[in-house]
Amino acid sequence: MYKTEELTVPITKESFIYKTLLFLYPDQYRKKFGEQMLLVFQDMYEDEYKNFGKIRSVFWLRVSTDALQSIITQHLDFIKKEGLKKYLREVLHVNKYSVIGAILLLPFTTILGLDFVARILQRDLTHYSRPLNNYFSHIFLYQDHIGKIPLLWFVLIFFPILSIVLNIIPLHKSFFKNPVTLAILGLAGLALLIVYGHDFVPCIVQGILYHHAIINLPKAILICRNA
Amino acid sequence: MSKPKAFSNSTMSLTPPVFYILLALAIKERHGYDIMKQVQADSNNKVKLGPGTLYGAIKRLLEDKLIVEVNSNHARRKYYKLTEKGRTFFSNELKRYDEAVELAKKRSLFMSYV
Repeated sequence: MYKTEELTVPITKESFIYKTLLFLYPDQYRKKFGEQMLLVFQDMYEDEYKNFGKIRSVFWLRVSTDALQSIITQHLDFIKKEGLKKYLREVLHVNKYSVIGAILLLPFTTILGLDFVARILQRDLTHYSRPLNNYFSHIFLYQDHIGKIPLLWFVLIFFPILSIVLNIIPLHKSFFKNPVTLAILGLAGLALLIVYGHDFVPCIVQGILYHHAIINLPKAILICRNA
Repeated sequence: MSKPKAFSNSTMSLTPPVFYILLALAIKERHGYDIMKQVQADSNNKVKLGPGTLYGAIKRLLEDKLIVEVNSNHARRKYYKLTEKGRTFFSNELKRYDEAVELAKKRSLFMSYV
């Protein structure tokens, strides 16, 4: 249970949610103001609970719209002041490893994205994708339904967006600093999914595992070679 | 490339959140949540800041050296106060508003509320 000397209401889960949201800000901004923003959020949460006896949905609406607006503002501010190259390198962490990993990851994220959209259209998010098993059948299936050009567009647009979103969340910094460890973890997860299939883990987690395995794989190989 | 100065032009209007933040800090040094509550009180609940907009504004004010961080005894919270430059700038802005209000009064532009 998380408590400071000033808080009387324990707010573990909600603080974790807001702390995760803070990862969407540029690194520099988050390091400078992240802790203060979290403290303010906790004070707001405590006040809301004291005044109303519960946390109303309007509280979360206010917090999320404030966060969305300021996240976009800070990213645009960074680009305006530092330039796009520095933004790609320092905020989105785009480097040669992530580009190589992104290319290797393309088949998996394509099918994950297509499956996810299909599930939303069918209003059936309870069934998860089985990307490796159904990859080729899905490609031919969607090509028949929506045509080659939209499919190509989807592949080219969806993948970079997903890769960018996944790159912003620095899982490897939170849990592991060694790319070799993370690559092994990702490949182990991948092996588990091949053997047990999609029911074991939701498709979005599959995507995260694949992504972090693949982007760390080239670096891991280089480290092992130089060791 | 030189960084754009947000508040260096004294004729530039302040946004309401920034105005009320400067107003809050003109009285005493405060930490983030204290600033937020004071802004809400001073604006009669018309301006409600979230952590994102609050610290976005604080960041710009720090960059333009209108406010500065203060060393405090509190282990985790950071306090802020107006600098001399910030105080002068804010004072000039208040004078500008005062002149505008006087002009509006002379021209009978204020509507009477029934």
